Amino acid sequence: MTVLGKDRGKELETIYAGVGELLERHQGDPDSRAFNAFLLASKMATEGIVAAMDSGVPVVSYNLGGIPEILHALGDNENEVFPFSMEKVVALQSLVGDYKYNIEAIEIAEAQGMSSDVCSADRATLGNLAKKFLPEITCSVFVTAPCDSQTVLAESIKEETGEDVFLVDIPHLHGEREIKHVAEQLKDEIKFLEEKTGKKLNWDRLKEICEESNRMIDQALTWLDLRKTVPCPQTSKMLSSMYILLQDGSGTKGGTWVASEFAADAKERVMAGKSAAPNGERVRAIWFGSPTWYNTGLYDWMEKDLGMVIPVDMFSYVVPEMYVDTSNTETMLHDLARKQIYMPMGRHFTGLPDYFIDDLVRAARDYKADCALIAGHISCKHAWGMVGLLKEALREADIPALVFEFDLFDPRVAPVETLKQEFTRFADDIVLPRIRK
Amino acid sequence: MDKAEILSIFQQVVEKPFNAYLERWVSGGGKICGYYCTLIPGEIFTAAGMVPYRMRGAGSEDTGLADVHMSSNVCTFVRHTVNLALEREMDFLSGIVCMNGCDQARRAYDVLKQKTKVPFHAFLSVPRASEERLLPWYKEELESLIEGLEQEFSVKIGPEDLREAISLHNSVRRKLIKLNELRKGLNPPISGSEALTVTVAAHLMPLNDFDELAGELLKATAGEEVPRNYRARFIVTGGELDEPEFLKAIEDQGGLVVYEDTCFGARFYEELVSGEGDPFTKIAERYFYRVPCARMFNSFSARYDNVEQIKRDYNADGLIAQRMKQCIINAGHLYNFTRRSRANGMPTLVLDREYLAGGYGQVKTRVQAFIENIESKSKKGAVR
Ligand code: SF4
Ligand code: SF4
Repeated sequence: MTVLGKDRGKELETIYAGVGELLERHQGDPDSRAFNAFLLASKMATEGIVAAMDSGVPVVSYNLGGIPEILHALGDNENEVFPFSMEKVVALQSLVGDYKYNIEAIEIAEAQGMSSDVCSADRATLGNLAKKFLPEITCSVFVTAPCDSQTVLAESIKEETGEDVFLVDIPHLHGEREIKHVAEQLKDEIKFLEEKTGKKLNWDRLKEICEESNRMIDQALTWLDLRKTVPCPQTSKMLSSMYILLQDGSGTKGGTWVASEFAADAKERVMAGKSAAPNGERVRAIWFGSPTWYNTGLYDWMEKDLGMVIPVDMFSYVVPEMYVDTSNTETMLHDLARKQIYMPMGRHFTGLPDYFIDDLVRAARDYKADCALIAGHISCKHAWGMVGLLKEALREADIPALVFEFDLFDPRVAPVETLKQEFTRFADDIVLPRIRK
Repeated sequence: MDKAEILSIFQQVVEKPFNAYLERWVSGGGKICGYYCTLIPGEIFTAAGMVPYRMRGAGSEDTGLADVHMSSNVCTFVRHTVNLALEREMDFLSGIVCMNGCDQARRAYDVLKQKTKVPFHAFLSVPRASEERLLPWYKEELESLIEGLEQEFSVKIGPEDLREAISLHNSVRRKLIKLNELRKGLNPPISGSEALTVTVAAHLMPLNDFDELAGELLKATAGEEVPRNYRARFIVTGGELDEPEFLKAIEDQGGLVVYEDTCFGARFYEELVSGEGDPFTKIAERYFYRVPCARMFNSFSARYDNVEQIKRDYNADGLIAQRMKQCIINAGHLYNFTRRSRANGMPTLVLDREYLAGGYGQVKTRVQAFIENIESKSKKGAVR
């Protein structure tokens, strides 16, 4: 099939066809309003990639842990530069395309010598690069969050493409000193980008973009507030897409619109007294760690068969510190630096174990959760490295937790059936008896 | 003392976490500060009157305690080291200083800080790129380490103390460089496993003692040639490697290891700290700008070029790239490395391994095959 009038190679075409089919299937379904908004955004994102290829604008790659506001503000007009996160293609393939292409890409990277210890998002990206269907990039900007795998990817992209990469070093702690340090680095990043792309940063446009970003944060916070309702009004599988929105859609009207649809849908459902669990809500769980993007059907199964809902997860953990004060250039850079540090996943996996633990314990309290699901993506070594401290803290906070091992893109590590068994045992043997007491 | 006697002393130093030299130091009221990565300057501890001690797992037999805290999804170097500390085998330390070397090592710090009784802890956030714009941050981190040590141990670390420390550390480096130079020869006086034993010992004992013994070793080996009947000369590259037995397994198969491009190897002793100018700045610059390790971004080409140069200087036939299983940082390094080295026709063997695994059955088989491969391609003939 063609995308925007041309053949694009099976990988992008599969994503495009997949999202089209899903949209068709769910159109008009009142229970699918938020999901449809996400699907529409995915369709637009895919079109964005091919449009950038056709238009020949400079493509700047940035990593999974990054944010796009500065990239959007290069040039005096919209779309003079295309901010492109290569891992987004892996996520889209998994969520709306065909995960088998990710497996194929992972196998290519491994055949080229990449160890399976490295995050599957990054292995699949390297495989996709080798397949040569991604847009050619002008340069890259990478942040050192959330993990070592990301720095590995940055170095490998540089080696593979021969294009320069600017690195923003995210320090260990997340205080004011660190924010200022990142803000200073953003100034150097801007110089780098201006030189590589030939486009000057337009500060008026950056202000508008940050204001747009703030509107997205408004919507996200409203949405999260609504999700605190008992019973949880909206399906769990929406949650992790907030990360894609933040990482990819921040500062764009489309991104804000999707977030507002998430919030509007949640509000509608709260007003109507609807529950995410069709047979009644029995267990409220906080999911911390990466999502099972290789099979989002798991979340539907949890709601339907276990009555287990997830009001908030790590990927959707938006906080007010993500607002950007647009008073002047300094406040913008300061707050963009803070937003960068406070991005979910990076905020949790870099720095002290308490950054992860405190958010989780707070979420359990604020969202009236009965338990925690600690999703141990196999490559998240930072999370595995503190699993004992985490368990201790949760015991102290009296939050029962299930720690399970899986891979967010690769079903071969833990098939969904295995997870279902673990979740069922956890709910039946640990959580429900406690609730009944 | 002859060579064998000196080597046997170093051998005893590296076998267990605690050794006779440290025992003597501690019983004389001396303090020891443990640290975890080659980007943490040992000179600072020396200037504080302490022995810098590179934490490692030798002597550990089990990872059970560490597994409870870190799971088995973390590299075995980290787990064995943490396990020893949790078993209180490192209670002789007065301080532990770690950094964000990798995600796994920084979690080791979190566990060590909360679960051991060592009184002083400090953590450095070291930038991931050796770029000038990031040097001031690194210096600030070192400054706060110095302040922390001064407060905790009621010492003053002034420029003169740092200068003296530089002088001692450089003296050690010079000796190790000299010793390593001997390995360029056709029949070097020391093998790879012996050389590694010496450099590892330098991380684990009072440096004055080490410096003296290393000086004696140089005298004992001067002009000596040992016919070794090896079939190929190797550089070993990668991250953590403090197991001389691993190199011995390679050498038992007919390989001769002539250089360790590793954290316990050349990254420790290559490149002196400049004796000119402000000593603090010079220490910071030496560590920040030295040939970068795999955690440093934008550094791959420098690392690769360095290995090519060493290969020429040491007349090596190939490269053994070793990595601890689960180690992500070195997975990335080896991915880029092997792709480029193979494209350039540099014979490269990648070995994923576990720390303290012993046996090395698989290593031996693969090294054998690698040597045969090199021999079959070599025009020079098989045995030298
Ligand atoms: S899922 Fe874990 S390993 Fe993968 S990019 Fe995120 S933090 Fe890194
Ligand atoms: S071997 Fe790798 S994972 Fe282990 S401590 Fe060293 S850099 Fe970290």
